[in-house]
Amino acid sequence: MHTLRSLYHLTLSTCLEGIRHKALWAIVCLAMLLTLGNLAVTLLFTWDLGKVSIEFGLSAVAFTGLLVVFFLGMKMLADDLERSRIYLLLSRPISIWQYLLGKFLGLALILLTATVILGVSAAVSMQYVLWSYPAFVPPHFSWLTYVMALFSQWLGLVMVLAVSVFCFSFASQPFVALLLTACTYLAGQNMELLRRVVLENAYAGVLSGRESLVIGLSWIFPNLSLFDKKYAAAYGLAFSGQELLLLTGYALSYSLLLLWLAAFLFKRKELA
Amino acid sequence: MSIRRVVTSGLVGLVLVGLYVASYSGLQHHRRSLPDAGESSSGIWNLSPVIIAAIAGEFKGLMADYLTLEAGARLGAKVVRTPDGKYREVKRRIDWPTIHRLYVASQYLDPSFEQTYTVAQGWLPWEGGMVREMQAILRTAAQGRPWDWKPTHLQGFNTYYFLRQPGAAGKLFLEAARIPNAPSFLPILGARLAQKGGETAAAIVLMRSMLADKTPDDPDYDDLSDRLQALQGVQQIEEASRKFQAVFARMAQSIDELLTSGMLATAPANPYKVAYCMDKAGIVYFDQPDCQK
Repeated sequence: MHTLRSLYHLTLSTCLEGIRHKALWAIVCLAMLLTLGNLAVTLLFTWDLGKVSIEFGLSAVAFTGLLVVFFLGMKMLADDLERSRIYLLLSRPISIWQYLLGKFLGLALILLTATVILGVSAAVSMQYVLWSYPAFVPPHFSWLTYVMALFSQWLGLVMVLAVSVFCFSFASQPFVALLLTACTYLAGQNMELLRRVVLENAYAGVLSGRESLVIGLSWIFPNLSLFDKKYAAAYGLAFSGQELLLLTGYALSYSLLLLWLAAFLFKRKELA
Repeated sequence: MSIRRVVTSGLVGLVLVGLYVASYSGLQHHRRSLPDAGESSSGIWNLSPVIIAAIAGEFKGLMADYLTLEAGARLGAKVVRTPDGKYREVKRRIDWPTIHRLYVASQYLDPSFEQTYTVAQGWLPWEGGMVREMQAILRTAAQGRPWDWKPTHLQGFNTYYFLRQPGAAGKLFLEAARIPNAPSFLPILGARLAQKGGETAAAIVLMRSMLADKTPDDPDYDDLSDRLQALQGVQQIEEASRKFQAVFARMAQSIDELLTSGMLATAPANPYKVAYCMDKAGIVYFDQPDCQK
């Protein structure tokens, strides 16, 4: 009970701290700009306006989420160390894993808030485009697919967040953690592509015939491309609830595993 | 002392501003004097599409949109400013291999994007002379958009118009006609071209499969069934003509000759209420009774 209460307070305080960083206001401003941007960009095209609008909206959510993870999330973690707030927290009956999990959950909540705000604003601009140009509404477009795509986008961001907490737990400098997280994000985005290139291409260069290495890597790095459902949402291609459930399981298990490892590494980190 | 300092720093500032203005305006002047300034043929699209996909990461759709826009911006006439401040259109030299690479890269990232294949079709086969390349783009679009009849229809058009293969074009039109919401003229046109190109059997099979999905209440049912019957008549005459050639080692001159030789028992019924006609090359028509003239 006490553990849960500590976690709750840490999560809430992290979330409030994030909002106090004025990040949320920046996100709201960005959402408004992107809504207008969506309308302007869509009108540059003559065909498939619905697709362009939906894809732009979801890409905006992804981009903003990444900014939140890379800059706000990592800054908040680094601030705890640099401003010595972590000693204040750890001097209380809070264990390291509670600290990391609480921070992670708080940041995940900020991400969720940002995703909802941006998702709604993107939906407004998309609705306007779809309403103005009914001929270009994707044939099987559904708002349910859009919401599912948005949710899987958030799951992907949560995984990146878990990676950032993990990198933060052992990196000597916040910048190193940022760099490692960015590299992991890029590798994770292309894991599926790399796997396909090696498995389906006889001329894969140095990776030719090293399928097991690539498969091994795809188990280590987060396979973020699986969470990219922009294409499905943009063309109204259905993806099942079962797939979403499996994605949720994958994201949660991978994130929790990383947090467990992070707690282990963080104990060995030189905090002074 | 302080006045001297202010004057010195002001002078340094003025020199720096002067340098900046001179260098930047010189650079702009130099760029204006270059042909097609700012329109380089090098860019991300020169990389392998797999590399572009890796760079784009989860923003593949946006990258595809950008590449399509980039290709569009490089096509058509260019508007330039004259020294007196007015605008005039100038024709520019278009680098077709670059345009093609842009479309291929865009399609690799988003094989379902309608803008890519539609704009490419408007330029590549007509102005760029890239018919085969365009057919490949359309094949990818047809795979990426199984709900859209237009890519296959355009493939049929290119096959007929540029490649001059009416039989193959007809088969493509018939394939496009099987996609939901395809216009009703497609099966009729496809059947005509397929038959004209010697693909009567294929046309009949496709027409039959299309009729199997329809009921007699469908508005185009009668048209399709008439065309099927006409094609079956053509096929019957073609078979008799082949038999005639095998027996007499020459081509029959007319349908009457097929009838009198016994190779064709009776003239098949034509739903269009005209007589079938066979020209000197042995091509059978169901709608040109005077084809021998």
